Amino acid sequence: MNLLVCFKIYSDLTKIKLDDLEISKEMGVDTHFLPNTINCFDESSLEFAIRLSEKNSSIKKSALTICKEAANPTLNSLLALGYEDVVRIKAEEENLRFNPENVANNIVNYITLNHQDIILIGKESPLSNNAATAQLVSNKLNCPLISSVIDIKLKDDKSIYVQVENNNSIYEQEVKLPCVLSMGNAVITRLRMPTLRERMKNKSRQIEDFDFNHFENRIFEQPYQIYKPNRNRQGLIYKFNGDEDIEKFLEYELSQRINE
Amino acid sequence: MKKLIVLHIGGKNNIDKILKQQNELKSFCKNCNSKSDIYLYSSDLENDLENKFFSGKVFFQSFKFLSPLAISNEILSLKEIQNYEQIILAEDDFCNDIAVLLAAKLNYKCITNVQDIKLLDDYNVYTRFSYNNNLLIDYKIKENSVISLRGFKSKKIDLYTEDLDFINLKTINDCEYIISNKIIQKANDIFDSDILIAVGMGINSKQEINDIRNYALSNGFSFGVTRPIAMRGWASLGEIIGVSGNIFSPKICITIGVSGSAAFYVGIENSEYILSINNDEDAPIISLSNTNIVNDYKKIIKSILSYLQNYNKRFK
Repeated sequence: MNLLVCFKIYSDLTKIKLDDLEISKEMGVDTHFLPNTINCFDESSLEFAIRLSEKNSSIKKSALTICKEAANPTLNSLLALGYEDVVRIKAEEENLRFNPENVANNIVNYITLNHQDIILIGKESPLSNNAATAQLVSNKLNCPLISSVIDIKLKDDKSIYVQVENNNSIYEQEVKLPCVLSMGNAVITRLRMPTLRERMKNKSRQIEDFDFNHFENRIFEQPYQIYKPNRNRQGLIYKFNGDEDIEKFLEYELSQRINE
Repeated sequence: MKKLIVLHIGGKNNIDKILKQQNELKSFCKNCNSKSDIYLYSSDLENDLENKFFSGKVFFQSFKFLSPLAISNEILSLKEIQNYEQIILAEDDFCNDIAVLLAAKLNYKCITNVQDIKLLDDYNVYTRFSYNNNLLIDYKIKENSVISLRGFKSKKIDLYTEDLDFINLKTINDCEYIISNKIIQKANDIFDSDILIAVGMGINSKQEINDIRNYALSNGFSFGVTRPIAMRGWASLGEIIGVSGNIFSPKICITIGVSGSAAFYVGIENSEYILSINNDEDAPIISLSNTNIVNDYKKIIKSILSYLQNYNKRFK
């Protein structure tokens, strides 16, 4: 059984103050100096794949990302963690930004040449926040989409059990393979770190590099403008010493608002 | 040309929220000089939905299982589908999935997570967040489109009294690729209260989170947490506020020990008033709040919670 995790490596925007973000004419933001991180939904998928393969040795797990060459450390970690194939489709950020169809078509190209039974894709990722890749891959492959998946268990080589979250209720579904799973707020959130022994054992293994193909965006448009939101409120600061002051403050600040 | 509004009704307790969404989106369509129909779907209700609150033409369809693909296929099979110049999916867990699948099949333009829509000459200008909710993007689109909403608030809301034409579509009982479906955990009611209490990593223990949650829910207030709190296992994933969770629009939001990341702030941005309690004067939440109490939350939390409790008693 072949399982593919599609994941995104991006610049960690939590490491920069909003005021320091510089927007370019090309609607981009210079983030090259920021450290890389894995999209949180994809991190869950990568750990799920390892755990599933530990329970069933017939699973061949692959990890695919579309990114710059700078992502080597993350990809080497995945090789050390036992991913049989780690695939990188080399692309610059401007080819990916606001281009979910381009991303999805490149993933579909790979899957067409390398059949997969389970395809795991995070439900949404920075930087574009389109939440569209899994859906587009499902549509292109004509392969069913199961969305907001939070847990996966293997049944046999024909079907799997998934837990799906919707409106805060959780459902268990048995789903036929092949399928595309869009990973939501999963019960497993962190990807383990490889040990030094695992790193040494796998150090000669190679990342597979593929070229990025350009496709025309059909349904997604390029932005007309991009800008910083003005989110600031008054930001008044109070410091209190005694309970009495707080009660007066609450009466003053809240009572009128509550009674409106 | 018309617009189609897609709404998901989770259950009978959910009806007030759906009617609010109906009025909000029908008001938006009216302001665009467009007529609108509604496609209402549910996996919790069958033909027992009291329909008198709805307005205009409403298609209602029940599903025995949850699948964005099946729902989008049913919408595509509506005879009138080509008459809709725009399909608007109200905020819901599956709205982005359904929007993309519909747009791909109809060859319409697609914009997900839309926060605001404006008219500019012959164009619709759609605004949404990007860069992990740090920046806003505008798209200018003239063509037919499918959009899904997140944190959308109509500026003018009217009550609707159009003649009701309620059409029960056939219940979908099975699905080629879902062999079985069962509910294993029913949602706790997420109260859509005027007061929201949000807690973050500044809270020191799981017990304190539990105490604040119990206090909030027992008083009929909404409650939520930041993503790191849920990731730590101190709250359920369904309680996350923000981009990967719930979006609230309360009158008053009280944050306790929340730093104020962009991904979290999206979930409380529509609050009319934000009061934050934090001991770090430089935390991003400070400038994002109307008022802040900079102090150790342990010293003041009792006073605040008992004030709200007393208020709630007076109000009741």
